[in-house]
Amino acid sequence: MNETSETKAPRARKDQLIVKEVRDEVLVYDLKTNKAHCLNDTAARVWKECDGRRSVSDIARVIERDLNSPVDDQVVWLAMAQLEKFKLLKHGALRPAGQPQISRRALIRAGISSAVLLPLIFTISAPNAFAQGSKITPAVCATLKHNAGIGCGGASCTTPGGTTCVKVGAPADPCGCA
Amino acid sequence: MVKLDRLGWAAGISFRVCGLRVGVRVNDPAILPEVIKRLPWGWIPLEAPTVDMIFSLLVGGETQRANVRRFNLVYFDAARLARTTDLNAALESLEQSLDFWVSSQARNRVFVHAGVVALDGKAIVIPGKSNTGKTTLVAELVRQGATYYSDEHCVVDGRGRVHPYPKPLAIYSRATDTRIKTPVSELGGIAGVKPVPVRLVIASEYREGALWRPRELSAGKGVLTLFANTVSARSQPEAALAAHQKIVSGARVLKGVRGEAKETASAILEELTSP
Repeated sequence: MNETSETKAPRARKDQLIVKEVRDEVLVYDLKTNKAHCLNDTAARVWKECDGRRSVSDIARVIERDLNSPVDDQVVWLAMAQLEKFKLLKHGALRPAGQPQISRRALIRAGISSAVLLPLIFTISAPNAFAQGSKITPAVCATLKHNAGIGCGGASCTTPGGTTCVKVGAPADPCGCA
Repeated sequence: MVKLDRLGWAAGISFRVCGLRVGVRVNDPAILPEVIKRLPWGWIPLEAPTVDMIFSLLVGGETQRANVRRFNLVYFDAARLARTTDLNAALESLEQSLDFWVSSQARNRVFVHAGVVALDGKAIVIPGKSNTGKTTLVAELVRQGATYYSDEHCVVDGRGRVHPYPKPLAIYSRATDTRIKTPVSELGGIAGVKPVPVRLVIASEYREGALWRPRELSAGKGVLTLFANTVSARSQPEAALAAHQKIVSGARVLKGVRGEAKETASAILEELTSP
């Protein structure tokens, strides 16, 4: 079967991802976006089953069988929406005409409670190394040369008020806490 | 770099730390003891001068001409990092740069921006950005009997154990509005000497008047909490995630706001020591 975005079978993205399993969750680090995601059990199961051949209903039935609990198709659609949002699908499933966007709140309001957890993806941006540095004094900040390929660095300053070491004024000026 | 290499370097030191070979060279041998005091924790001298990265400190020195200033210069390889007439500021800049490059490039360790203490041979890790109260909480835990590991860097190996990095605590002084380097002995505490597994991760932020009522995070969210404070998160994500996986496999991860450090430290230690 040709796999295009017009098929109904979603496919998980695999390229440029680091994947780690932690108990019943799955951690995914995206090398393209520098974001780290934590997929809960349900989201992880749906992602795993997105092989480009199974439809949303097929995936719901597979998870039902694995967990021995009923799984509404809407739960899988919710997972799809989240996986697409965080660019973890190579291509998503084709939503039937007229089907509205799914949200957690909508599922709960509609009374579609499930014996399985609703899918959830928790995401952070990987920090820049400079942002993790220790605080520096204004005197040290002032010594930094902002065009040395490292710049002022953006490290936090010891001065109160949440200042950071940044380029101040014209290009020839030194760095300063602002 | 060739130009820099041609300058008269009078003295230097090469050492190994966290799988890296680092060199520091100076144009004035009298400054070398001051440089050595500021080397990253755990450094071991190397016989051979071949290194992975080299820092250079050009001491400006005194001049007889009143209208001529000589700058002190700090370089990392060929990149100039600092230029100042204040020698102390240059030394501080060198120390900060050494710290930064080692923590971000370490080969066999993962550095997390976190305070660490240990109790009964297991670590309590307090990740967080600057100004979240880590040092204050670490200092209070030490005063109440915990062993000091670091107020700045949680240094994790491939087995998920935390190694000591007991540089003096940078304790904020309201009187002088500065941070004062305070050896742990002045708090009545002792520094750890061996790597230990992690028992507890505490993601907390100070909020005046808050009560310490944390919620427990899942293992996955615990990993991300540590990852969000990892220096090499972008440069070595696989190693970082693997190390944090090991940590959470044996530790609880708690998250919440806290009030005064004294009460929070007591609550934490009481929970850990109660049967």
